[in-house]
Amino acid sequence: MASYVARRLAWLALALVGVSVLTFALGVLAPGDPAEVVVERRLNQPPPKELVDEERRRLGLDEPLVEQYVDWLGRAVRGDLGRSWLRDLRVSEVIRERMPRTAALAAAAAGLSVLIGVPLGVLSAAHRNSALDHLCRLGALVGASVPSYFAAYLLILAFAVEVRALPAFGFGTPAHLVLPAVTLALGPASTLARLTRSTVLEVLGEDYVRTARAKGLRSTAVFAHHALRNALVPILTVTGLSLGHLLAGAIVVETVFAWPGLGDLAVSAIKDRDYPLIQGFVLFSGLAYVLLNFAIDLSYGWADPRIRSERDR
Amino acid sequence: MKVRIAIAFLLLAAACSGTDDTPSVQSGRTDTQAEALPFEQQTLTMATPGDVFITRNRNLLGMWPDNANICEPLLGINYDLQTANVLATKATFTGNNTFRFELRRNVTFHNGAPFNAEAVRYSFARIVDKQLGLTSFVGPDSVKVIDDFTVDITPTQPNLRLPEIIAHPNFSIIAPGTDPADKPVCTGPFEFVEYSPNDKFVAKRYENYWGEKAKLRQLTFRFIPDQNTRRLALESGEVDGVWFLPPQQAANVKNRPGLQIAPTPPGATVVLSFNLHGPEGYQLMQDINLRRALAASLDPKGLAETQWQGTAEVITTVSPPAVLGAGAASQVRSITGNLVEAERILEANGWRKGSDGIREKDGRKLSLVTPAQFDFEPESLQFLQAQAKRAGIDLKMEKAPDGAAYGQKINSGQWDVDVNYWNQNDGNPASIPSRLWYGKNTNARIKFTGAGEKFDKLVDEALATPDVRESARKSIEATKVLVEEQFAAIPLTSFPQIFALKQSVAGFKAHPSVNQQPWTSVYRTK
Repeated sequence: MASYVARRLAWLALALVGVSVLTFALGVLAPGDPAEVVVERRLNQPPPKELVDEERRRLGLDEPLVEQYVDWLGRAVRGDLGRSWLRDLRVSEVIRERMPRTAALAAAAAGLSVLIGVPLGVLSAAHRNSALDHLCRLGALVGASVPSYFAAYLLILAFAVEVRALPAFGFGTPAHLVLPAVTLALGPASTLARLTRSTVLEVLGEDYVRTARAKGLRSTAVFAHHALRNALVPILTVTGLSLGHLLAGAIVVETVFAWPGLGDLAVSAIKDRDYPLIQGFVLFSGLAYVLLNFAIDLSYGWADPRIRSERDR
Repeated sequence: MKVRIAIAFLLLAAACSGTDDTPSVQSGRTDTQAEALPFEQQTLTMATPGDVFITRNRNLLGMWPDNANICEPLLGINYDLQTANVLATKATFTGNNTFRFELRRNVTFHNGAPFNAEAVRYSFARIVDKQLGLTSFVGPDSVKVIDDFTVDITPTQPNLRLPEIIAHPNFSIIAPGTDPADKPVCTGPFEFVEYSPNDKFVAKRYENYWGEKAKLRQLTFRFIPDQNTRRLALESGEVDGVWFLPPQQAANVKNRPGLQIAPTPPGATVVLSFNLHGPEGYQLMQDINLRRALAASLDPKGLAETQWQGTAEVITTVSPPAVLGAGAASQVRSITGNLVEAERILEANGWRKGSDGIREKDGRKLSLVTPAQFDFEPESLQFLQAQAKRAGIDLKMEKAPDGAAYGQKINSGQWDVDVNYWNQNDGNPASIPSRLWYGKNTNARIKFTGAGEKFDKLVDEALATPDVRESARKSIEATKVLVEEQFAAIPLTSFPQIFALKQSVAGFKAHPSVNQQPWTSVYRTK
């Protein structure tokens, strides 16, 4: 097990370096001059060439590309992600400030998606081809198909404008979390519902389930102890992947609900060509994905004893 | 409820939606006869497009672009876009590139400190240090204290438009020893209470203000980046007003019970400019006949009244007419809105319509690469495209994803026609003409848009006279050269900047320059 963990951590480091190189390269290739953007923001009009040149020097953009990247990497491994060009704040501070908000939203959305998706999937599988099954599948299809911005506006219209039960925007209280979390949970919940249904149906056809039924176990016991437990591995995978995506920032939802998290930060950083912030965000997102995948991998051992003993060999 | 939910579908196409119900251009004033609420309830919450103090400049907290009336400059600009006294009572040109400012007396900062010449020196030193006033050419030693209530300001380069340029919130006067990035302490009718990044900015009435005290007890800005969410927040009652309502939503909002709109008078202009000195492949617009034809093919009235639902006005000048003085608009002849003339010019110059309706000549299609300022809404671009197509001109719109991409496209010279809007942020009548067409401006795009010696000479004269009225006259002459003689720019309309408010908000008068918006006269009614 220890060597397995060590190998995965080594791959994690390599993955992060790869992601940072890719982001840096994309930034360099993207059209436009970030120094001009910075100065134009300050002046609010097309800037004189000499000011742009001065800003380019100040930001270190006149140095060779490899040198720029190596400088950045050297500081990043020491935890220094540099300063945002437009916000004049440390990148790590900005990410640290916003991360808890995105984490709260992601956790709420992930929790909701599991609480809604898994039971719906099980219900659907248990009553296969019934009216309930068709209804659940239709609901899952709609949930997966509706764009998140449309769902967001619809929920705001219904619950904030019409009923006035929940706030339309902002953050700070549990009430503010409801609409964005529900919006964000719709897609993953629908995916989970469909995946759970198909996985459970597959497991229900296995010999050991037939044996359990033949032995006289009640349906709930068959589902809980045999079917669901064996269907857990793919469910864990999808849940982990969606949580990684949520943690990296649900861009559309955060923008619509004025939820100042990492997704909202990513949008403004990209629009502003604020490269230190973009690099920092991508690095953080990569780290989140890789660590979550790692955690999911480890959880397989808990879910499936066969995997645990394979790793212990 | 079902009907309202069905409207959600319309929200998705809200940017394109329009109705036949065209509201007339408002004066931007909201007055009601209803009784005012008690002072304790005099609060106003405005939704603004995101936290600009993060995305723009924290050193201008509460000042620009969202102006909470906490800070004041020596001079401001009034509703006619003319310079007006604020913390200075007089500005005199004394020769040698120097202006003397006499300061208002009996003014105190929010922390009780007296406003005086030393405060002006301190403020300008900070402006120079933070590079907030680059266009003024004010340097570290430019401000000289003459006595407690008199300062001389001498820019480092000839700049006789100094008084008009410093009438911008960037040049706000702050209390010595304070840092506005942390907490702005100034002289305005409101004082700072709280700033929560990405959430809100709160100010309260300053009880010892030197001028007319604000009627509001508290003014709050809530930061909401999404324009549809801002509108929904207004409809849900969580905010009392919205900045920058999209013009396509104006009629819809105006017709809703309990809401009103207040478009600003012209303070920004929509202008088409041309690549007059482009590289190989981008030289079509060097032909003045093509520029004339494109100008004639466009109907700005349609843009203002139909596309923007009456919230904009047709203009003939590249600057908002008010900054050029009364009667300026009538001095520049309109060159647009004559489709027959457009077709005549094109036919006379050998451009024949092809089977797709686009004109051709010598095997070349009349197709013009048209980048548009990145935040220009696509529906209005399509409107202009459709108008040009009637004459057989193909405006190949290339909307850039962001400012950097747009800037790169323009600076590369690989374009023919540019669609842009320009804000009049100060009282300088030569400000907009000198930004894009003036040969002595060193920004990267001038080499493609420079309008030539005759225009440059007039702008030189507009910048070189200490008399702002003379400067305005010269700016009008320069505009005539640009628009009527050279067809180097096509002014279309003012750029609509619309406030939407609850009906209970009274006393609001939209300022043409949104960053100078005053809040003192606003109050809440029952």
